[in-house]
Amino acid sequence: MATTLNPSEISELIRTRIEKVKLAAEARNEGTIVSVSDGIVRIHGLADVMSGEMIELPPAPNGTSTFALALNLERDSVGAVVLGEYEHLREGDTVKTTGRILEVPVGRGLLGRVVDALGNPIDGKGPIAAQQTSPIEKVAPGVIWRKSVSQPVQTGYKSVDSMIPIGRGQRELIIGDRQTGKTALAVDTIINQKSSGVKCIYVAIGQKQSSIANVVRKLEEFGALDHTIIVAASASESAAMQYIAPYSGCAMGEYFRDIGEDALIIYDDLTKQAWAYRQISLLLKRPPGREAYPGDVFYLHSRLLERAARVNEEYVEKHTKGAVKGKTGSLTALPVIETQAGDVSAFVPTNVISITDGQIFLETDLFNAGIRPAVNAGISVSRVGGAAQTKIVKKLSGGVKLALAQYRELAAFAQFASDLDAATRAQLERGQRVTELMKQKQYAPLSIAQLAISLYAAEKGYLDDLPIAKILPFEQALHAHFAANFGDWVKAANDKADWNDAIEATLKKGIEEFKKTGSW
Amino acid sequence: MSEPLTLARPYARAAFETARAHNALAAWSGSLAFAAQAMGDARVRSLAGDPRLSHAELVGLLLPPGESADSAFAAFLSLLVENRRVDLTAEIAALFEELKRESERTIRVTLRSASAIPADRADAIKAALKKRFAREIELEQRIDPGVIGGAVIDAGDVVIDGSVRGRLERLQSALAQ
Repeated sequence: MATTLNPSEISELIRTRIEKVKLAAEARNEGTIVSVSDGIVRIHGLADVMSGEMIELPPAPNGTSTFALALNLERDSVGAVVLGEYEHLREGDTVKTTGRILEVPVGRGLLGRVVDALGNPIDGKGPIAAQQTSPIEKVAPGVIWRKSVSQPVQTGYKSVDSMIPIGRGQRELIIGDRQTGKTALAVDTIINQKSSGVKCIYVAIGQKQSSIANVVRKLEEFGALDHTIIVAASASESAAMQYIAPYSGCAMGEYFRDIGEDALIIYDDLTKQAWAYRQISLLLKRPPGREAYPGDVFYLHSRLLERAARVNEEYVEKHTKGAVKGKTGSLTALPVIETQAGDVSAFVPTNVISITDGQIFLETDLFNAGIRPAVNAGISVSRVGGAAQTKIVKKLSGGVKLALAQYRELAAFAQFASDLDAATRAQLERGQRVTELMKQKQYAPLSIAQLAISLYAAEKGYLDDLPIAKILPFEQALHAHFAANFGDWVKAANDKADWNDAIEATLKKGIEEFKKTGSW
Repeated sequence: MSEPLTLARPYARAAFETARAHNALAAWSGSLAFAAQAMGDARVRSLAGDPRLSHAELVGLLLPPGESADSAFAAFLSLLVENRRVDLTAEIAALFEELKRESERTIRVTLRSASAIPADRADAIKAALKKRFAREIELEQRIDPGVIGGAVIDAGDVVIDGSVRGRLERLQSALAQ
């Protein structure tokens, strides 16, 4: 290692730590382990334990302390779930209450790091430089501290930003079967926040270690890791870790929200968290309900997603004790739900659909038909994002929404193409072109200006005379043309995202000029 | 599956109510302790489920000497045997003691220290604990060199740790973090 030991610094550190330890006689509550099984311990005693409190267990052989989370308080015993390894625990071991609930480190020091559900670094880059900790379970800000969603989160996806816009502080569900591009959408959204100042938290729950490593590598490759925290509870970790990981990630995101910044958190995915919680609940012998989930599985997700919010200036000022004035904070949540064979009426999907402010449906059929991102524009909605759309995108996206809606109605008639009247045929043609235009490669997010150019070209019919296969090459060349010849316009559109006649005139001029002279 | 303690509770409560009604708490406590100790013996325990042994004979085994076979305690034991809950005798005895102490407003406290504590010091501790728990204190002293220094007061769930070992452990966990 390149770091050199600095003796004075270390003894200083030790001294401050020793000073922090309270060495007066302590009164504590003790109990004994009655049984250990599948990560669940039953404890006799502990009369004063609180629900959700951390219980200190005997340390592991390598000296790391072990904790459990008290979940079931019964007459003769306490049911607790062990956080981490439990092989060293024995019947008869003494345990004690801590009087604390679980906390994780929060702060800027976590950016660019990969941590586990307890906030311990697992990326081999050394200790986390975080001065603060925060409890993982917190009550969401109340109504008086909230503010309406009015600023956009640009995902960089044409189809999402134009038709299903997401606002800062919104909860937008990404739902679809396996292999439909849910994680791709989430990762691209993170990559697109490079210049927006939005801090991102990616919570991986119950995923393969290799998938997590892939996400980390991609984020690093596209320079997006510096504004991102990755909380990983992989499939090999205990159900308890998978259960608490979203709450840990949320606490890390709330830090940014509460100091008047914007953050985006992705829970990938909440289905697996519900499975982990179901496992814990069944082992704790809580009565099973629908699909064997416990009775409080709705609350499991609602209390988590309720913490995603846009808070007003007063909240931020109060929270920072006046250090930050006149800034609003937000935490946007993009929960991911994996459906089984497109069944959105299963228990967990319906719950999360009802909690969130809209959903992006990704469909296997569309994905296999080559429409990627496989967004089903018909049943995807955003209930609050419209208010947050930038002026330019809002003005231009109406046309594509309408064109696609009409296309869907008429699509069934497409096979009678020759027998249709001219108007219907025109609508079909337009619909096919817009559908083609909405296709987009992974890791290629679009800026606002690029989005505006594409949407304007589609709405004003500049694509109508192109063969469908040429639409994407045309779009790409058009973007390049604007970047080369209308740099100022592009910059203004990206920065201000305004809309007026002059802006439209330039847009029109640029596209017409390109259609005459350009090649694609 | 319920825990032994949960199963034992109604028996202990019933035994306690009976004993209190007959004003024989101490006698019942002694008898229960005897039965529990007898059941603690592996040889007796192996007989508990033996079909060659009649219920009355098993009750006779557990009955303390001098207790008549038609006493209330004998009836209680035969009820346990009939319900196949005789294994729970130890839990019942412990719960009975708890109830008895609760009714007498006393609490059993274990004081562990590295060396013997002088009587005046022990009395001071006892007085302080009496104030804290608002109960009469049954103090039991134990010498435990592992404590190193200071003392640990153990009153059921509540443990007051003023030992050198406890402090060292806390220091260790604070530094290891």
